[in-house]
Amino acid sequence: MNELIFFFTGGSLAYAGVVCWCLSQKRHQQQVFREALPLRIGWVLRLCGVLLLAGSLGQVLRHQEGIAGAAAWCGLLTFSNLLLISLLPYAPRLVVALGLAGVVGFGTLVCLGIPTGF
Amino acid sequence: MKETFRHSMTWLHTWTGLGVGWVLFFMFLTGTAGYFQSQITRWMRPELPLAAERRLMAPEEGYPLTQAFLQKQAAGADTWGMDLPSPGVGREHLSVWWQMPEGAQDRYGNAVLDPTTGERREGETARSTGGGGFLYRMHYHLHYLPEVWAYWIVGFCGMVLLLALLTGVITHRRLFQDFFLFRPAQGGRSWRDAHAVLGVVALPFFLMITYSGLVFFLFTYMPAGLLAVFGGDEERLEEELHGHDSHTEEHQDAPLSRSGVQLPLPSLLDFVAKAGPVWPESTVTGIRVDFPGDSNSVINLFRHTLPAPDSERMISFRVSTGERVGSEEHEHGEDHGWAHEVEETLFTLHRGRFAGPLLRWLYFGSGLLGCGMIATGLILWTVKRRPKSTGSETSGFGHSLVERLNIGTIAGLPAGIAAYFWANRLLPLDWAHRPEWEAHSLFITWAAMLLYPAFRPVRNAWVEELGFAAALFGLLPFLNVLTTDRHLGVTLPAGDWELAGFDLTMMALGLLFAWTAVRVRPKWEAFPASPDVPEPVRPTKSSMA
Repeated sequence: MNELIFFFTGGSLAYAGVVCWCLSQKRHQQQVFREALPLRIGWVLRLCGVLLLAGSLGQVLRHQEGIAGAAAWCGLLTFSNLLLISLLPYAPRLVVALGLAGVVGFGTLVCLGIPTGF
Repeated sequence: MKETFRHSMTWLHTWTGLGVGWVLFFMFLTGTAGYFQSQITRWMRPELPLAAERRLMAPEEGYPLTQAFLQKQAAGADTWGMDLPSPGVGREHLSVWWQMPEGAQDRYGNAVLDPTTGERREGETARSTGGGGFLYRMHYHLHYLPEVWAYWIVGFCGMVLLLALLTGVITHRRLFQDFFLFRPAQGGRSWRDAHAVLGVVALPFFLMITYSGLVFFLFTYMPAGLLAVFGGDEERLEEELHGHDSHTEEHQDAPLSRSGVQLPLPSLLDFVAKAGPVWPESTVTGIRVDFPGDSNSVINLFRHTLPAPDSERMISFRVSTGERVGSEEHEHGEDHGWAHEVEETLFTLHRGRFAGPLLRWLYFGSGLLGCGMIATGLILWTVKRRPKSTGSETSGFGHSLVERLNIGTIAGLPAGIAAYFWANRLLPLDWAHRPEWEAHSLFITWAAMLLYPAFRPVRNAWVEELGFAAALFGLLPFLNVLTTDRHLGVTLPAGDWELAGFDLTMMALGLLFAWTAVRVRPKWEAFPASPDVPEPVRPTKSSMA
């Protein structure tokens, strides 16, 4: 159960992180919003991406330390990227919606007091 | 010579990848299956009890029975061993073994005990099978080949893969800009995107698995250091690498022989209780007693269930004093050299030994991505070189050969693995050669799948072989219904997820292959052409995983 919670929280933060990073690129902004966003927003998104990825690494390491945690995080990152990349050409809005849902889900767990490490 | 560095690297990437692609696909697929080898073995021995019926025993229940049995059966033995049932490591029964002093008649013995009465009962009744271990071993051991040849072939292919990965990164023009780029339904470009995406998203896994895989047979490939420093004496190297030999270490301050003075063995549970503070979260699943009944007796407690490095799997107590044997330092493995630590870390990473169920799935998924990367790379090679217009040109022999090897391996090898599972259910149960013929079934099927495309137009062969693989995987759970009573109708209500998970995974694989075949089919019908002119087939990237 513990593993499930940490994989869910770590995974949703990682996914949200790569979505942010992806949306900082002009090409994908056009794909999702049909127009490029202002440059400044691109930088904000990039920063958010880095913070979310760091948060996800923290989550995974809380559950599993050391080399096993690092392996788990790499795996989560791999499949976050894969999900994002395979959805993007077919359902670009869904990509963002899923990212938000993940973060909201994580927030809910924290609010419910389920042990997420926060 | 190619004009730029990147051009040379692209050339190298293309031809190294093509040269060993099929062997690599084989290694990746069988190795990936290996992450679930104990689950596969479990499914291949359906006679064993369901999870719910399996009696997991507490040490308080089990050890008094084993101790009483051994006292009766093997008093005066040099060593007693006993194991609680722990399905996680493939032990299904309460079992004991013993070793009598040298020169004794029937020096070695073992028995499976009845969990209620503690009496000996007849041993394993499950069918014999190669199990998941066969698939796992095949990824570095191959089959039908002498061991050493296999290691060299595997090592060569691994080395080339490492080269292909590195040159692949160099070849990728815009690794970061195009990181998230996938353009479906654009022919060759889509294949290139798919190949690049699969290669890049799991790149850390691929680098880790390839490099650590090579390290396994380091001294087979590069014996010079071993010869120069240790004169080829691998045992001495092991000894220095591992600090001290762990076996002598554990007895370091314990006598290695009997004292001759009798000291009745106290209840083993007293010592199990002492392990509690050291291993708060795990069960002592096995015990070995050296010289039971002697005053020099040592009790070694083992745990197997937790993912832990070898050095933390055993603690020992001396019976006479009740004190622990071996230093604290040893428990934490701190006296091992750093070279050993690096080696151990690489091996642990490769095998994913620490992985819980979810991480195991990530490993499995990453392995499949590797298969997908290799498959898309091989297909990309053919797509790029297909004749531009239909009917006007015919493809050359080389191109046509690669097309057919691709079909026979990318669709054919999975079908072979499915045939391996079919053979497990269909071969006669009491046949002595069962495990060998399970293996032969795999290779016979694969060989047939390699030959088949020679007689069929490429596009038809793709659809038919993918369809065949889909049928073999998809129907496996139904074959299971007909041949055993461990099918989904039983395992799902019983909540035995290990068994049900296997059947469900097979169904999912069947659907995946069926979906791929359906995706390939319309493309084939849309371009009627002469049989030897292949048409672009474009399943999406995920269908190749």
